[in-house]
Amino acid sequence: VTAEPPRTPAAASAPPAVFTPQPPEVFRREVGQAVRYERGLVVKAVAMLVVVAVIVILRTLYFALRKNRGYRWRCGKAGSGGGSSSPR
Amino acid sequence: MGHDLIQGGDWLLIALVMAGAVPGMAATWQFLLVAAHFWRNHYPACEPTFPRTAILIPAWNEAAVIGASIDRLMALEYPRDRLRIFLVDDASTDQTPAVAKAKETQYPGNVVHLRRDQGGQGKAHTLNHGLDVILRDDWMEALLITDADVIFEPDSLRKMTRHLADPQVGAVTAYIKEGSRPGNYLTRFIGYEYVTAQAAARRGQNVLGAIACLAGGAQLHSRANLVELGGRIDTSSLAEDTFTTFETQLRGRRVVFEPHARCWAEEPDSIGGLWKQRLRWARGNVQVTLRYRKLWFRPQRGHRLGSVTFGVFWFCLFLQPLFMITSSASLLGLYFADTADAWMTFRLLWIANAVGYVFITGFALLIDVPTARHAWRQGLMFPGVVNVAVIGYTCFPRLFRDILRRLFAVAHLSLQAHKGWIIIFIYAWLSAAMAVAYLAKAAEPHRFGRFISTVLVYLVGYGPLLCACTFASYVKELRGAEMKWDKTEKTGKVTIPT
Repeated sequence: VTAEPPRTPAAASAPPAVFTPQPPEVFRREVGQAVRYERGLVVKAVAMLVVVAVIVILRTLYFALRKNRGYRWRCGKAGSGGGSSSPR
Repeated sequence: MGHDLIQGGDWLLIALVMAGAVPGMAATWQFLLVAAHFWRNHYPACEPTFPRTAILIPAWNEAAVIGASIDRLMALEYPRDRLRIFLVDDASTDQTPAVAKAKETQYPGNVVHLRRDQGGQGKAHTLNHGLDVILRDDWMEALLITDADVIFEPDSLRKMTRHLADPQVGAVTAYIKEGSRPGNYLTRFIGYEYVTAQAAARRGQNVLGAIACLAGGAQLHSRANLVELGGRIDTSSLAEDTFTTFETQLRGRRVVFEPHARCWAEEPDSIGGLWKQRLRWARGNVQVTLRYRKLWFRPQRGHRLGSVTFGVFWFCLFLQPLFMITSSASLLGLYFADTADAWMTFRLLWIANAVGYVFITGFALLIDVPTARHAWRQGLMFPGVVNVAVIGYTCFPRLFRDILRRLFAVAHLSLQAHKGWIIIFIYAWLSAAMAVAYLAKAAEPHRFGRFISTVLVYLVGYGPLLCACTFASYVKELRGAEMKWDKTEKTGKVTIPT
């Protein structure tokens, strides 16, 4: 029986001499994980499209609201005589 | 009649201004294709395959990094008897030969040290020296070309080789990530850029069926593909990897990007280093564009490189500086012709840019969450502070107007008095940003240069900095400047984050 030689840093970093390829079901699982990740990207893309849509809608509503309010104020001033041209 | 002519001119200017939105829209389209990668990918054809793989590493003065890279390669989850590393030492003058000899002794039969006595001709010549040796016998079934600083994750090679089970596949490329730790602001910008340019863009190209470029540091070729390419790498340009990619696809073989095979590389941490690297890449792209001039926008059977979509993606990137200059010059022209039209067109342009920016930035950060945690600030600031402010103004004008008024009040300036100059500045900024980016590069070597250049890069953005590099590459090519292989210096700062 020989004593195990001291492990040098280089030997410690050396990989196992024998590599056992994965069984087919493990391989299929790994490919399945990759495909699931890609499916997750679809969800992320849709989520970002929703964010963009919300910003566009809010911005459009904001401008539409400002325009309408401006129109009402102008109408008020012209029609009733008691309205104000300013929101204040 | 005269009025009609002016209006016609205005429409032309408006169209030219809106051309500035085309690269952003093309990028958005490419990102949308990422979502289709779930349906159109190469995974159904994958099988567990372990071809006898030769790993070819060109090295010139890489003593700081080569030892760790070889150790990592020998730790790959891959049958040891099916792996050989060929280190081609391009007449190094540092400790590279000694490190290579030590590794040859440490891994007998797995590491081969080849030495060129006359070096400095460039990467392609060094690769060809190794290829001559590797192709002498029939041991090699697949060839992985990598760089001395690239660190492969243990499962990366087998994730690449699984695609070679399909004989139609000629080459596979991996996802190279920026791995300098702790790194600095520039390496984080590059980290984010690689999410957009690799993890996202190459997924989109997988969907299209046409890959623009195999990453130089992680390209796996089947033997059949290499033999068909003549067993040589193109030495006539600075973009040997792009030439190999195009030639592979033109011969009817498929090129696949495997986003789950990850490796880490050290990228430049100074603008000077980045400029040298990107100038080389951009000049290579000019050479590719000219060499394959009969290919663009001409769909053909057997490959998708001539498809209209691929052409749009290629030219939007290649001509981006010209798009920017044309857009802002036309905007200024329109401003002097018709102020109201100019303002309306400017807002339209930036609404399109804002939509692209929000979608691309948000999605890119979600595609690679670990990189996003590391580099989200650089992701947000990619277009630069000024452009982000313009985008913010486009989305929330009232808020920005108030902020501007307050800023000017603090500085005791009249906003109204300077309104004209502010507008001219903003209109010209798209192209002026590239000039300021050049100033950042010029300032870096001087006293306080690092600080000044950092501030300038955040101000103009990393994107315009790359555009400035591309523009410089046009000038170099037009002047027929000498093709120098300016190697990026590596110091061994790469670590795989756990």
